[in-house]
Amino acid sequence: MSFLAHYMHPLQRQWSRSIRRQLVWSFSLASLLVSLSFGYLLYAYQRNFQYDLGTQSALELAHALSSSSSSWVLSNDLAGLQEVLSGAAQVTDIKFAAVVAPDGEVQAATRPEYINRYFSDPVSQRMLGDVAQTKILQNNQGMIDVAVPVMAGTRLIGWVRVEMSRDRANANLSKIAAAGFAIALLLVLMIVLIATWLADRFTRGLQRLSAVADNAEHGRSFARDDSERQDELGILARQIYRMLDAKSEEEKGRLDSEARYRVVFNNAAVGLAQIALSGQFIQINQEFCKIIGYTQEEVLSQNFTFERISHSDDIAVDHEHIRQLLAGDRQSYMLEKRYIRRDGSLIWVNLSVYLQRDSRGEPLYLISAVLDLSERKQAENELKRYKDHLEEEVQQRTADLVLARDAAEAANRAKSVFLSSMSHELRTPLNAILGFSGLMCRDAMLSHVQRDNLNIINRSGEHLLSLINDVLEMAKIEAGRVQVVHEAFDLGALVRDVSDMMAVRAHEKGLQLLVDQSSDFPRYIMGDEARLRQVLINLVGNAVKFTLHGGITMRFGIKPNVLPERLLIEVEDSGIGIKPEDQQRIFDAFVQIGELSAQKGTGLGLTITRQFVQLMGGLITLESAPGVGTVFSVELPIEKVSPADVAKTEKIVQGEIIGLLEGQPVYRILIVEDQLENQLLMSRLMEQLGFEVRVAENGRLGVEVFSRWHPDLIWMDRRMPVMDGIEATRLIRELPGGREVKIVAVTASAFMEQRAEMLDAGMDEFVRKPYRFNEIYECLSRLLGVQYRYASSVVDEESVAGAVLTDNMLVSLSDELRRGLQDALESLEIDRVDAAIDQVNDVRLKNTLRQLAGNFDYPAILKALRSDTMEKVT
Amino acid sequence: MLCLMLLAGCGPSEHRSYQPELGAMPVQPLTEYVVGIHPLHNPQRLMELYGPIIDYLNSNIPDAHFKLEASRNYEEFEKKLYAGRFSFAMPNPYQTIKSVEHGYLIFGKMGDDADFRGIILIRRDSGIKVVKDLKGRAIAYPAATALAATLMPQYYLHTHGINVNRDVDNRYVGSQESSIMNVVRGDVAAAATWPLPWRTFSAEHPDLAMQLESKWETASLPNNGWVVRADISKVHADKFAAVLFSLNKTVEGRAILAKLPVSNFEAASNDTYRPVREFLDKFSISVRPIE
Repeated sequence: MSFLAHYMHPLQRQWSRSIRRQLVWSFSLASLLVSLSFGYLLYAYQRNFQYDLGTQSALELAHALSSSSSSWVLSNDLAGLQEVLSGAAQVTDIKFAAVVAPDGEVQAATRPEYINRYFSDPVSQRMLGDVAQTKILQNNQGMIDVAVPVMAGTRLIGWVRVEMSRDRANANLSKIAAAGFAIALLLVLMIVLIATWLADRFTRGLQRLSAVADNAEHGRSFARDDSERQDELGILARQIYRMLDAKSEEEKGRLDSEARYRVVFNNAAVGLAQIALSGQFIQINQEFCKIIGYTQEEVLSQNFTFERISHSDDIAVDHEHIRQLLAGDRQSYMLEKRYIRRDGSLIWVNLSVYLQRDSRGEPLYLISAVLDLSERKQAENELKRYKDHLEEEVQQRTADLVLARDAAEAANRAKSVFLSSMSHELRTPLNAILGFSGLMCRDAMLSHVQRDNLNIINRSGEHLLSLINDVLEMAKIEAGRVQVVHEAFDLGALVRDVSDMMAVRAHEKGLQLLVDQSSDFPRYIMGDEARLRQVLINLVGNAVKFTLHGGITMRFGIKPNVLPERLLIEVEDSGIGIKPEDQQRIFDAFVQIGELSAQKGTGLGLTITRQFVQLMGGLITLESAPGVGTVFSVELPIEKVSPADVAKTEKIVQGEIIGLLEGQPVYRILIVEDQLENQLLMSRLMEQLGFEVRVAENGRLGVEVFSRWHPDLIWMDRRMPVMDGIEATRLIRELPGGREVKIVAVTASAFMEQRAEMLDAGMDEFVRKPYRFNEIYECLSRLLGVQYRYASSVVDEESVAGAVLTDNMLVSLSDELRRGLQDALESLEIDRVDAAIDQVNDVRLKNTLRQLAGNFDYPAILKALRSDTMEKVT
Repeated sequence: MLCLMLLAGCGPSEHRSYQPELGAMPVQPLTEYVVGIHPLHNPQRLMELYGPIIDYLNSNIPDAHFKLEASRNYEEFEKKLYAGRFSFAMPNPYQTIKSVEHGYLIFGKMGDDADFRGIILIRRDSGIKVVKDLKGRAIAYPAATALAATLMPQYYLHTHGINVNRDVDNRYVGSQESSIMNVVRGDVAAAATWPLPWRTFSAEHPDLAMQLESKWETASLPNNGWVVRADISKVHADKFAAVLFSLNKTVEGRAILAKLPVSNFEAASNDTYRPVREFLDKFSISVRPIE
């Protein structure tokens, strides 16, 4: 390869040096190649044709001889054979023809010396050795040698061999080749001449243009040749002349610009200097001289570098910047530095340096612009003094603010402590107030006036409780201690509860409460039931509060055209309305709109409502017109569930509990409580139910009583002197029998997370003060299995709205019927359910079941069936 | 490229010059015996009919090689026969007798002597009724010395009032087929031949044969003989005779004979040919001398 490259390289150089050479050589070589190839093809075709002719005539001759010699061969008539062959001797190009016996003996031949001798060479053996068929023994440029069998019928009796030279054909071919070669040479010569002529014409034009360019470059005058030509050279010439004209214009412009630059340079208001890379000054202006106090002659003299006038502390910085410029890291730099004036004084300047490079990017010189900073430096010093003062002040203020923030945080902590204790302190007496007033209400001996008074006490207590609850709720929200529950619940039941409850209040004010529930409104959803209930109560309660005439409408539906689906609740009233300017503030805490005297409450209701809605991922808006009414709209994300997911069935609300059912055991109940009022209240409740009751004033006493008396259930106050409820519970759980006893925490704490703490301590349940009696009853029922006697249970069941199914009602059913009913209910087959119910003998049970089944309240029946079965099993 | 062209131009003159090499006769593994058959037919036909007999001999006598050699005409055949070229030969009866004088021994003959007679063919449309009608006309014969096809018909004509030396134009046309074709074409008034060629001709060219009729036939003589040169190995000569005479004993052999056609070959001796000698004596005395 390197050998080839060694020879190719100079050739390539020669080739690329001249267009003329390239043109001439390309044309010449191409034409030579084409004519030679064409000539060779023609020659090859002609040769094949001539050779084929020769082969054909040899074969024809051999065949003719073969058929005419067979009789002579058969009769072994050699003279006759010789005569037959004598004709062949005259054929052009014949080398020899011979008749050969199958054993190779030459019987007759055009060459007498062959006769009676035997062919023995390999070529001839090929003829003899094989089957009787026409053979081409040799076929080359010099000759054609064929053999044809001589046959008598199917019998091989000899061979005719004919060998012919190709001399004549070859002579013809030589002539053709010579003529072809001559024509090709002529053609190539012509093409070379034409190519040379054309290339000369073309390159002469180029040379003239080259001379023009050369003259123009050296500023010599030049003739405008070729510009009249119509071909590409003419176009090129015209373009070059145009370019030269443009260039001379540009040159003129450049000279003008240079002159302008010089004026600007010399008269600039900043010091300007052109500095060689060695540091010597090339050119400076007057202002520069003025700044450094030297004359132009001094500065431009030899050995006067910028280092000489630079402050020794700044030189290193300057050098570093210049190094970066030269390295190409940056194009310019700016720095403030000090010059030493001629008189030895220092002067601060702002120096801007730019590195000029040539067209190839090689550095040429530096251009410096120098601005006198003496005045600015003075101003800066002033500023610095002010700034230092300011910083001190800011530090002082910051320290003050930190103190204030700490104080605020301490206050907030104090608020939390206060709220927590207020919760306890306020709710504990309220428990007594509400509890005793409730107890007193049960007294049948009360007079009408007394009952009214008691109701007033009760309602005031309830109101006070709700105010306290609001404040606490708000505090919890602000403290970020509210957790949204995410559980399946029956929204339909919630709506019914709220509307039933609020309808009473509305009717008291002579208002109408309507519920408008769309058909696609879902019944079972996931969410925080208690909070949603609070939201509804707040909104409807507000509406009732601010409406004097007309009514309130609750609308429930699905927000149209929105995916995922969202629940839409609207509460519309025909009340006093809210002014537009107040609509912004209405959700703020402790804000009450309108005349103060007309209001009740904390002003927290809507704030809490909005907080709850937002916590649930929803949105609350309002539309209102004063005097017309208000519409509150709540949108909530919705997640539908199946009825089976709602584990909690509605509480069976029954009439007032007046005692235990017959045959119930007498349970021992221990009350651990430090507050006398609450001790009494709980004691009364328990005694009314017929339980044995003991009271302990604190946790330690409670533990002692437990170990002696072994109660079935303990109501454990959480917060007590000496020993609190949690500690007491822990101790009791470790005592003998401490595992079996049921312990229920009773606390006034407002915070839900304390529930977990109490359950962790080993408590079974949790009741908040102030408690409602039903909560206490349900808790007993759950933990001890207590069954109650209700005041209304004596009333005929038909008059009771809604059928009630208790677990023990199903005891009478046979196992088979029970299984059949359960199966039918689970598979939702109405006919089978009805059939199963028909088989029930107990008329009361049958009616209850029919009623529940008629309302498709299958879960209620199923629940009763299951819990009954569980009991049976246990 | 230029060089290539030049090379192409020079190419043809640069071939290697081939000269065949010639040597002496290669060593023959077997003794070769040349078998000559008198020109009953043209050489191709002879090879066709008698070639199978030679093949049969070759396959049955593996220690010798026999080669059939035709002859273009009687003169040629006789020249070769009397020169002793043939080891074995089947001459006609006349040549058989003559061959004895040239060192041959008679050892066999063709069967079917009844077939060895002359016949005279004329065109059916020739109007020739009796022998004397041939006077002044031309007659074709295969050869002057052919016994059955020439001498016996001439003796017949002679005994039926025709002086063959004067009354007719005798044309010796070289072969049996040639003789028959002469009368078919009308070149001659009559053609002399003998039954075997006539039968063959009739089978191969029935349309032409239809135009002819076998007008007269002569008395018969012993058929063609088989002779062997006296210097030939007795063993091979005996084997040759044994195979030849047993041809009619095998299916293959009978098929070969049927083509000739002849029913068999049989042993013979000098005495067998005495009638021929007597006929020849008679003929040369009364008709014309036999050279």
